[in-house]
Amino acid sequence: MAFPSNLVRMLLIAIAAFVPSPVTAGDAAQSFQTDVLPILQRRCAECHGDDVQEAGIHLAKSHTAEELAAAPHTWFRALDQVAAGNMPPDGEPPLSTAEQATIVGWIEGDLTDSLVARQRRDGRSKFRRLSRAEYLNTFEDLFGYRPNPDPLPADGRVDGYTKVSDALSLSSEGAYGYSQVARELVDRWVLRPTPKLDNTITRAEAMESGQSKGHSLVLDDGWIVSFNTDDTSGRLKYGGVRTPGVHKLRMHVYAYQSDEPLLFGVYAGKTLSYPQEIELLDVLEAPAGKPTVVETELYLKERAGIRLIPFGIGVQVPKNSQASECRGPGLAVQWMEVEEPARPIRADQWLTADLPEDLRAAMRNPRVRLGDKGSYRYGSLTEDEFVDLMGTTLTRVGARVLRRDLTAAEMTELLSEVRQGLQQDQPLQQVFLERVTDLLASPEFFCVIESPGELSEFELAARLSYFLWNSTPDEQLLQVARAGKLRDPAVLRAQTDRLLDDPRSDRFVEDFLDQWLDLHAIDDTTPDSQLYPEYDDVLKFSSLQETRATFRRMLRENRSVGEFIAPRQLLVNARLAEHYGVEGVSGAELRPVNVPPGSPFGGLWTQPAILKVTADGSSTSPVKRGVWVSERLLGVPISPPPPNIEPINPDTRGATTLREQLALHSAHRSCSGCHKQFDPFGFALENFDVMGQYREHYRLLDAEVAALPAHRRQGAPLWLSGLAVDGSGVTPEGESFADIVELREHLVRHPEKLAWGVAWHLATYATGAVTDDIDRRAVQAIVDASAEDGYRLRSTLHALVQSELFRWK
Amino acid sequence: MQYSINRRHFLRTSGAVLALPWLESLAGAAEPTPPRRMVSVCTAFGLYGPSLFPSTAGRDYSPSEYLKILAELRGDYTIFSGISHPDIGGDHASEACFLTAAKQPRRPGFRNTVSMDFLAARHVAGATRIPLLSLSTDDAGGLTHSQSGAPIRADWSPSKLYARMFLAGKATEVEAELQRLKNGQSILDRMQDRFDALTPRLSHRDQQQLADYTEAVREMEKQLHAGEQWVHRPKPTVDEPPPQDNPDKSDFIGRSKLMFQLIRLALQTDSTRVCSLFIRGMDLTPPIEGVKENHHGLSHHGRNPAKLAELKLVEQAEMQAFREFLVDLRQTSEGAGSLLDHTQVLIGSNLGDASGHGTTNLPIILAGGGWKHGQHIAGDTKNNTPLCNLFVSMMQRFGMEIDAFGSSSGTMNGLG
Repeated sequence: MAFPSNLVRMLLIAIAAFVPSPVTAGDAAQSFQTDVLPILQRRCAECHGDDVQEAGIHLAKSHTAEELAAAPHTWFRALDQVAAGNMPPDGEPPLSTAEQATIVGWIEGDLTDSLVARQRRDGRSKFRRLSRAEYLNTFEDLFGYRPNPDPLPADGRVDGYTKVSDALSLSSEGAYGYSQVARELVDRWVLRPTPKLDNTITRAEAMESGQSKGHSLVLDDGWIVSFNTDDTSGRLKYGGVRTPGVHKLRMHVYAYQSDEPLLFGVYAGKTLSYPQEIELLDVLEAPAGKPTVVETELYLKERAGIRLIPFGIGVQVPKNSQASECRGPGLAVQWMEVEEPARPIRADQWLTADLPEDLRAAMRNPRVRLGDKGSYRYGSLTEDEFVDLMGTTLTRVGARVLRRDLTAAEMTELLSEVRQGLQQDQPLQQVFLERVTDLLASPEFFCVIESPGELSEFELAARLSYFLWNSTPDEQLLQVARAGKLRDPAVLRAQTDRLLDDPRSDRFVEDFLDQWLDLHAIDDTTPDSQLYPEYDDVLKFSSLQETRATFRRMLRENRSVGEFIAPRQLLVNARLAEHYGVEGVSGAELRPVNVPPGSPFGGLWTQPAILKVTADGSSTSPVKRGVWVSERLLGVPISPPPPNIEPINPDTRGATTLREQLALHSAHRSCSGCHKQFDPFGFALENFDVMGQYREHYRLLDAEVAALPAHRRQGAPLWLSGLAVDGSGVTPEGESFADIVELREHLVRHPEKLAWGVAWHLATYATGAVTDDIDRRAVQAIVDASAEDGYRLRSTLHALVQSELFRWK
Repeated sequence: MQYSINRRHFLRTSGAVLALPWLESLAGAAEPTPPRRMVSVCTAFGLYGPSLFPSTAGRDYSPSEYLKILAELRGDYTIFSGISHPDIGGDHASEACFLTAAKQPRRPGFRNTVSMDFLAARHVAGATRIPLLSLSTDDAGGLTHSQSGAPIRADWSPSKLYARMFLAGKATEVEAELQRLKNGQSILDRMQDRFDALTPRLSHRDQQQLADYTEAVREMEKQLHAGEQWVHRPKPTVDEPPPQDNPDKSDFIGRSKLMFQLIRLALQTDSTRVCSLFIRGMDLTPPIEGVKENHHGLSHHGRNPAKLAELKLVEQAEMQAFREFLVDLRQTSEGAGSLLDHTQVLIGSNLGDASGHGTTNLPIILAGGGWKHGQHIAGDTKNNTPLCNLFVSMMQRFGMEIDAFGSSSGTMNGLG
């Protein structure tokens, strides 16, 4: 498929390195005509010539330079088919080694050269606005709070990614949304009269449930116990968040009637509306029996109320029943302390940092103007002095907002507007804040703008920080760029390490995995509660943490990408240990344990979060999972099925498996050619159900039991064991396997494929342009570079950052 | 004070003409002609084909299980089968393409295109307070896409929408609204200048996106300017009390009913002439007697009879909601006929056989709008009629001079 002879490729790279003059599309058309076309006419014209064009592909004809440049994908498909020996098809004599080498050599050589040359000239990534996540993070890092995202333009997805130009359209209301966010900043948070906050720590006592008397248990000393995972639990006497920002929470809690620690969720939102609109912000652990102060730091929105709710224990005390009769575990809460962020908030402090204290105080009054005649006047500065102060402020602030130093012309324009405002006797606050909204209205704030060619220092700084922090560069990174040093490979490497080691890199891990591995879809389906009663929110939450922690650990410790599919260790907490069949793990904290011998589990692809997003709630599809492994893990895109193919409808009545239905479908020659490239991965994953639990038989709804009223089922499961799962298959390379364990042994011998997969996807995420055929050579170079220390994750990322793919537009 | 002619000033003086609502402008005329309206509704998880499609075509079809629910409206709608957007694919992502027909929403390089409702709204721009009512049963977006394919945010709070259309604000609120519009214009004005300044700096590959963004800003400036004019006009009054938002996320049918009532009010008062409603699919169990499984799970029924039985309960409730809406429009008299006579209502789904995420053989119903209804127009189930043919017919009836849209190959055969 995508990995033909390395030798040819290495040679070509070596040649390319010594031949600086670009190969043009005209050159490629010329060599096509003389070297390749004769072979195609001889060997391919019968199916892909003037008379017949199977699959709509017409190879054996002259191609102009424009035609070649316009449809490169066709040639890379041909390359894959020829290199894999699929074409000419069975029954025809194969191409000779020389013929094959000529075709492959031309596609990987002249054609790629000409396409890459064009890309260098025009740029690979395209002008785009920031994604929502990028915008919100940027805004928070500059101003200290996250604006309401609703007015902001909505993101689409291209190949799963929200960072790509084509996914980032701008609607008219989206543009208006930017103006609303800017207005909200200056109207509400900057140069407002400073509120008197007598103490910044608030203690909120626990309260009884509002549901009905006795719905929560009241103990001595104000301890209240809740037994339900629902919003009747965990009430607090708390007036709501006053200042948006990161808050420190301290909660005095313990697990009641329990020998085990109990998980509880911190939920925030509209706790006073009915029904409440609250979202889960964090999951913490209350130790068994012993009152303990549990701490966390969380970003809280203005006016948010808080609830502390036992996590994943169901509803043990239904409506109109008494908590005193409950014998199950409960969450005991006595109080919660909330430490608020400082006020005025960062936006105010940061924007006004250059102003003398008395001027800042004067400007908090929206009527104060310059001069000393009349009331509401500030007379300590002349017009020139005020303009100078604004110059200092706007130079400093402008560079952070626009992610580059402002030009002299831009400064002149801003300051002439300041002067004009003063001459019109506008209030000082207005004169200043309008310049701030001007900056925020600049596309250079909310868009990514790069010029063709090698990125400038500032452009590179922005690309690096949006890659690894999903946000704007900090002062230090801008300083390096300003000094003109970021393009120095060693400095770039050091900055990459610095950004990765900063806690802000968690945003990269979460955002990248959401897009690369489809984790954004984690809530799209819910496993059928009758067929899969084992599934619960604790498993879902733990598995998301597991997948992120796995990647984070590999990145931090620079572990081999082979661990994506075959690690020696799993990261588990009590719930995941139960899922994986590992003994002796308690608590919510993830910790490494060795993979039990003979276990089918190990790696991203057998983690519950992944197996959930690749299934619907009731059935699994080997096609969907197979495509996922191919595209996401191995970085080998699968073309969508031809138009108007009838979808296969899963038949869950139990007479056939989807695999058997699929076999009929794939028997058709035109289907099987593609399906055999990815279905086999899905076959091996059939041994995992919709939540990733290992199975040897499919489950089938037991209609008789399901028809009984709940109290007469006597705990009988609602499902029957159905047909046996067949997890065997043959890899695209022709190696047969009996199950996932054997498939894993095959794949782990090729870490370069996993390095290719992650490099392919990191490149899309990092550059905001979907990686495609033209980039194969660049991706291969990254893989080759990471081969030097055994295909390690962090090394692969470094190789990407150092590559032209990253350093050029 | 310095004066310079900026764009805003130009907009103001060049007189973007505002038409009066037809009721006002035609008051006194003997037989006012009611305006044409268009409503498009998409329900996310399809409607189970064997229960929806009649077995025979033509005017004498015998009603299917679901169509029996619409029995009293038989002469007011047409049911289509064998119709879809060609080459869509993309599972649930096809939602975004229901009114646009853009192909393969999951493919790399996908860009959505303009939706039918957006074009229709542009055709009657300025005529009503609200150019386009894009609605959804939840806060995650609707069906509408702008000229450049950008998703347009959908309204989902009936109470806020009601206030916007029918509640007169206090003088201070009107003043604040005006200030808000002016502030918005001033920032967008600046944004526009900055975008213009970028043009020479960007490469030719970047120009298209830049032009699309610039167009969005310009469009919003126009809207804000038009909004300023409407601020001073009195809002229509209606007898219906303000609705209360339905807080139950799982009750998407209850939520869609609230929206249907508002759509009727909006059309009746000529507050808008183009509406679209997305009834979002939910991974939640709707509060319907006998339904225990979540709706998404039921839509993936895998031919399991127990699940199908529950799915039908959900879909029958949806059909009931459609019936109530259409009957409501028919009972609202207008001119010499009913509101339904002047309103084309498209009801359908982006999914055909939702169990396998099929995007062919879509369930499509067209009601009202003065068409001769009462038939089943059956296309080829293997080689579907482009749904855009119907869209072109609808837009023509809406008064637009258009002969192609999306993947259309003409107009809708058999629709008279």
